[in-house]
Amino acid sequence: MSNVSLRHLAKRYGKVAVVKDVSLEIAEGEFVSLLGPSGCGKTTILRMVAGLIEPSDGAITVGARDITRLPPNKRNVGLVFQSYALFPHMTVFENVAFGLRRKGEGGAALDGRVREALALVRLEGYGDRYPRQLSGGQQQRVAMARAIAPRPSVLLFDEPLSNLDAKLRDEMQIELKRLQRDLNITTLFVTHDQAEALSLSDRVCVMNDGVIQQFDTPEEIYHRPATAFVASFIGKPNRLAGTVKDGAVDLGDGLVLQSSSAVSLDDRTPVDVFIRQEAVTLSASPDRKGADLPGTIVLRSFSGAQVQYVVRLGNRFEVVVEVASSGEGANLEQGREVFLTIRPQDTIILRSGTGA
Amino acid sequence: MKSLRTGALLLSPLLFVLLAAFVVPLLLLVPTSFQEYRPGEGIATDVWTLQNFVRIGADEFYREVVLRTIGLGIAVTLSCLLLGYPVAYLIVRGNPRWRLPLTLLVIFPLMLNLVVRSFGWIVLLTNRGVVNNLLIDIGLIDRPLRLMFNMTGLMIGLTHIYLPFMVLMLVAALQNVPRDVESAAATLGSSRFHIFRAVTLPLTAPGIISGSILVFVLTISALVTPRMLGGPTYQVMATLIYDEFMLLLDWPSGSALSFALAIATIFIIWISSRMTKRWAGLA
Repeated sequence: MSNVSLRHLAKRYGKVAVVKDVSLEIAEGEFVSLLGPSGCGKTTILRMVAGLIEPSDGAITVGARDITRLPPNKRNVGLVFQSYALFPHMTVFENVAFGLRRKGEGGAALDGRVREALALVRLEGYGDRYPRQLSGGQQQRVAMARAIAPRPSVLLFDEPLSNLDAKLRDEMQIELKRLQRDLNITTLFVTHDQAEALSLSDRVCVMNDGVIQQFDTPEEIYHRPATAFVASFIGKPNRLAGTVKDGAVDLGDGLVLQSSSAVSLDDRTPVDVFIRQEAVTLSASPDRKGADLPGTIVLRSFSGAQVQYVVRLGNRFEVVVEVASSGEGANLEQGREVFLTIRPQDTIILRSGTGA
Repeated sequence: MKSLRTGALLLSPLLFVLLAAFVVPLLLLVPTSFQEYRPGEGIATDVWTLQNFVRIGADEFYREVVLRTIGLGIAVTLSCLLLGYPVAYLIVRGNPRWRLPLTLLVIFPLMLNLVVRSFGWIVLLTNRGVVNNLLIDIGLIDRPLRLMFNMTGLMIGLTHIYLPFMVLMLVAALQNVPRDVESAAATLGSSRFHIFRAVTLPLTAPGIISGSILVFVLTISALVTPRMLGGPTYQVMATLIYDEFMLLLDWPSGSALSFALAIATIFIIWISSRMTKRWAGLA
């Protein structure tokens, strides 16, 4: 259990830089997710921490120990793979015992610790099975038990849940969070699934193209994205372009959007406005303050708990609006005039040209 | 039901060829192996005897040939395995740029005629051959080493000829070992050697089994190379069977030897695959 720090970490393959100058401090016992689209370098970072890929530049320290050039077997990290990577020729017991045996553990002590690890992932009594006799979720839990059993100083997860079906994934998410809380092991979790990252992590590090875009708590990442990339990657935002005018955003066609973050910007600054689908309220009549935007429903689609509308605003924009299917505004028919209310604090304004 | 019929249909051409060209002639030899050969007269069809089979175990010459053949099979298999595994490992795990040239290098000997390859070894290995001349010239030995007409010659020749089969089988097996599984062992504290011993080797066991069986069967049934490198006197079972049939016209003895060879082969394959499976934890 130690803090992990990555300093100016970089990985290049020939001329292609996969990871560019990444620095990251992870506190002791913290759960940090690396979130980004595929090819953003997150898995490369994880594998550099595990020692499976050698960094081109920079340093990795765990606690006071510089592990940058150590081989993986000397690092005391636990890695859970997307493919589970269990030893198919060994029983569940032997799989979990593998790391302990490498540490010289044996006899009754070994027995006890394997049992303990299997109990943590609720697989007591499965010791004699072979991996091929287990379901995907059970295999993933064995993989976790195997990584946890030797008490690593850092736990690494490489998209561990993406091979599971949706229902199982939700269950495993909860289990994983509970496990990490109980053990209090510093954890680095790689995923491309934002819901997973936001719900599991203490802090999320959003990456794109080998660079950290934002490293902050899930709430900050969601509500106050630092870059256009983060804003458009997290959630399902609508993106509108406009210019600042008198502390509001002029979208053209006579549409003016009130925004609390536009107040501090100079007039005529070109900006991108991000509005989350669920932050919009639809109503059939305009409210009295006249702060809402008129539009026309182009499409309505029902998906269970939510109803999605595509609403046309003026001539330039179409926005997607999501409302609860049990709430008001859930039964508006296609082609109807509607009014969109967006609270000034729910708009995210970024100057145009701040990336992606 | 439908899948069964489809399966039977898919199998039938091969099944037909095997039945007509292999099983039927083999069955026709069964009665022959229990008949007696009388020199000068031919096969006596009126007497039934076990003598042809008994002789294989009882006669010292036959027994030696049988043991030599099995010993040769085991030795060639082991040396192909020892020489082939590192090559296969290099092909699969080495620089991807070397993969194609290395694979071609392994396959290339297969494109040459077997007689030519065996003759090449004669040129190298005879008393006045390239190897002996070189060793004498640089003063390492005074008299030529006996590299032919004995076990050494057969081992060298057959190992060379069957190595490609072993390498190709091992390449296929190694490609099936997921890299993540090896990486997992590394993060759990395994050194590179321990990863190999505890993970890679057991996971390639199926390839080791099939490669070994292939090389073993090919070796003990090889005819051309043992004839050329062993000469007329250093016999293995295949050359002996050939002589019995073609030179001595002793078909009964030849067919008995053929069956003995087939049964020994099946038995050894069965034993070895059982042993290897147990060792690899697959049983």
